[in-house]
Amino acid sequence: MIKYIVKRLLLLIPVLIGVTFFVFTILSLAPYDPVTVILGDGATEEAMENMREELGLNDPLLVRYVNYIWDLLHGDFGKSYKTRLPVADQILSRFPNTILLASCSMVIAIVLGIPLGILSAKKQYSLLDNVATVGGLISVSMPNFWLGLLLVILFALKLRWLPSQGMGEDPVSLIKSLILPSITLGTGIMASVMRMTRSSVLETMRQDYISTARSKGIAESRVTVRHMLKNALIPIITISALQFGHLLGGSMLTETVFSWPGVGRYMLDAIKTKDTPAIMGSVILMSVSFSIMNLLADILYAFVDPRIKSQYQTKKKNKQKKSPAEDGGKEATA
Amino acid sequence: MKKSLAFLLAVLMLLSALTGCGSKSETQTPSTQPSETSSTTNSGEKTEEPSAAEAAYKDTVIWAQASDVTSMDPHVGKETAAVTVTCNIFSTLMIVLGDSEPQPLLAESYQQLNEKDWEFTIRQGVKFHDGSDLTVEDVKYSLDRAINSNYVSYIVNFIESVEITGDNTIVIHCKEPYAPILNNLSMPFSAIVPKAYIEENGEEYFQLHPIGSGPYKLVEWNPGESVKLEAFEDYFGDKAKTKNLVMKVIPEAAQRVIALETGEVDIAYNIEANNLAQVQNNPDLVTLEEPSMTCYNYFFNLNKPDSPIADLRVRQAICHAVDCDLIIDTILNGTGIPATSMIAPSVAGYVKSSKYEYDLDKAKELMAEAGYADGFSLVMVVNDSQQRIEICQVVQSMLKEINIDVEIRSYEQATYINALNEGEHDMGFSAWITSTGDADYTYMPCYHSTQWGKPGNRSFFANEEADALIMEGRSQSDIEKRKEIYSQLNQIIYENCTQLFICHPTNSYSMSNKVDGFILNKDGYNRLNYVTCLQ
Repeated sequence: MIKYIVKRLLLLIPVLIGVTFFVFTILSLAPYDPVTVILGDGATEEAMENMREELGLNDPLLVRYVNYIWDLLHGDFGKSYKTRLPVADQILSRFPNTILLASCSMVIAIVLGIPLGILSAKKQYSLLDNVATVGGLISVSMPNFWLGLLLVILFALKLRWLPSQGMGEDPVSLIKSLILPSITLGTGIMASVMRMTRSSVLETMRQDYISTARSKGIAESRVTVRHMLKNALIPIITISALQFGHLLGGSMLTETVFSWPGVGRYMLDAIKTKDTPAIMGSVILMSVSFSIMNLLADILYAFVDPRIKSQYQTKKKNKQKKSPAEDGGKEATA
Repeated sequence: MKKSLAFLLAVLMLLSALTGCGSKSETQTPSTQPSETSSTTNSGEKTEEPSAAEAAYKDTVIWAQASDVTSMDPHVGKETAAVTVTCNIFSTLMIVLGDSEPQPLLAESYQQLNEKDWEFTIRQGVKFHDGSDLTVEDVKYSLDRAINSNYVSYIVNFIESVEITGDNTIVIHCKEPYAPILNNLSMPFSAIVPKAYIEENGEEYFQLHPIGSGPYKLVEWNPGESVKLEAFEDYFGDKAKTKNLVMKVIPEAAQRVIALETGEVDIAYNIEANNLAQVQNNPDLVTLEEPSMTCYNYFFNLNKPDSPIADLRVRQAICHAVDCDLIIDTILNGTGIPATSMIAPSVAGYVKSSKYEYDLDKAKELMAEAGYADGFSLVMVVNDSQQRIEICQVVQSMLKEINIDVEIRSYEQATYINALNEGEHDMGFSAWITSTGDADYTYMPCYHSTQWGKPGNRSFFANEEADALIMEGRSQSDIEKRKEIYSQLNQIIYENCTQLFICHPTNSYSMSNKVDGFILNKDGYNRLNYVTCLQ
């Protein structure tokens, strides 16, 4: 198991090299001079040349990329072109805010999505199912920022229950300020979790072992949770983990609408000002969190499904058995 | 096991969220809704108001703006969003307050020694926020630092050298006679920074822990979120009236207005045209509008011999065919004044000049005269701002009337600037800002023949007479004589029809009607030391 995890983590390296190279190249090939954006109108030709030299923009693309990676390997993410502040510090100081928002949204999505999905499945084609289906469709298709603004108009402007934007400082106002953005962000995900749960539960419902469980006289609630849900959980985990990975990269729209100081807005600002080091930093964070959530999902499978767990383990056992037998070739087929 | 734990956590979170929501309606937390007890609603809070209304001022005033500070270093962060904060932390030798002429601030007095040399006497007893004295050493160091800064050098690079001539006097030697010197020295980019502090702590430390000699000192900067300032007790000038200032970053325009209406903020900058009706209709809000020093215009590309645009009559026809008032009334919701030149009325050196009035018949006549009665097509370049694209679309449809087919090419900012610099456009949209408040800041880069492309001359205009007038204008210190020079210059520009001038848009600020003492600066760099807000 641990070996598997290490292997997956090592796989991150080529992924990161690929992603950074791809983004770096695109940013460099874009037909603009970053210096004009950094210095703005009025800058003298001399100042621009100095700046280009200072930022190493006169070097060829490959040299710049290698330099960037070299610095990266030394833990240096570079300084933002625009603010001259270290990118790593800036991202790390915002990341907890994004984690908080992402977690709350996921909690809303899962706590509401899974039970609704199960209910929809168990009462297929009932009124509840239809309402949930339509509601799900609406919330998936509704643009985040629009839903966010509607919520703000209702809860902040009309009812004055919640702050319209920003992030509270003391715990009480923090929780208050979390509610609207979390709902905004969580609704869409809730809908996809719900739909996934529904179809997955529908599938397991028809399995023989469910009938067996029922015929044994196990209480329906226990059948639902222990037998149905547990078996239906794999795709739900997959979609939740992917969505969570997505959220951890920062949600630009929601963070902008709610003035939430997270990494998504940092990235958006960076893109607007062509701030290459800041964009690269955000992209790296995005891909790492996405990959790690993916890995976490795979690990979770093992806990949910003993069959998968045994697969991980047999692999390990196979290796131990086969390595002395000099039969490495067949290992892959196992 | 894990699952149940996760479930438990989830339930806990939801519960806490709900209780947080519940307690809200009972206990009023002043931190999030400071001025909610205004007369905005008829809700129960009103009962609390009389006791607090005894002309008590809030100790914290919160303002919202669209973007965060780019850099706290006044010689780096030149974006308006940065300067709105740093201009309260740092002081400059001179200052422009509201509509005033530049007046001495850190300088006690000044005099022009000869054509190129100016002597400044520095005020004694000025303290930086760390308690150290501001000396002539700091002044020289700061100006040199600004000259060497890639970001802001263009504001101060008229200076040849700064010489310390006494305990409290310096002489600024200019490279050539430079009339707008006082305006440039009142720009926040020429702020005075503490030499010893920076040298001791290093540049990087200074970026995050800046100290100046302004009315407010920095308490905390949460990048992307907020900046907290506190009144500096030893400020040499008029001391800040409100103890704490908070700048909140609210990028979404509609949210800035909502936050203002709910009382989460007291002042909101950057009110957009389509939110204007909302704030104007709210009796609890006061909205200030100030024609900005920006000019929306189109540069005609005179450097395209093959294009019909090279024909003066065509350019005049285009100007006659565009109804600027209609653009202002519709797209800008009336937030702008028609422009006759690049220079806005509030800028030093402004003179009213001739304008091609809206006259469709004349336009058609001119087109026919030029031999383009059947029209032609041209390329219009603009950035990706929605409002600007809309302006282009309106101009496009207006030009359709004289049979000109306009192809609008909208690029994101950097590509757009590049396209203008390279002369891809026949008509290039431009939103030029005369940041220093002095006409030379615009005339020199936009019209001088040495400034083609990047520096600003995007009509690729070259005229010896104009060049001579520009140079004369910047060296003439008598403002009336300068105006005469600029009047002649405007006439040349008018006759050559280098641009289609649209308007000077308005900057709008909105605030609670309890706010007092807000001085709107025409450049948007509002000093807030006079601001108070009733509870």
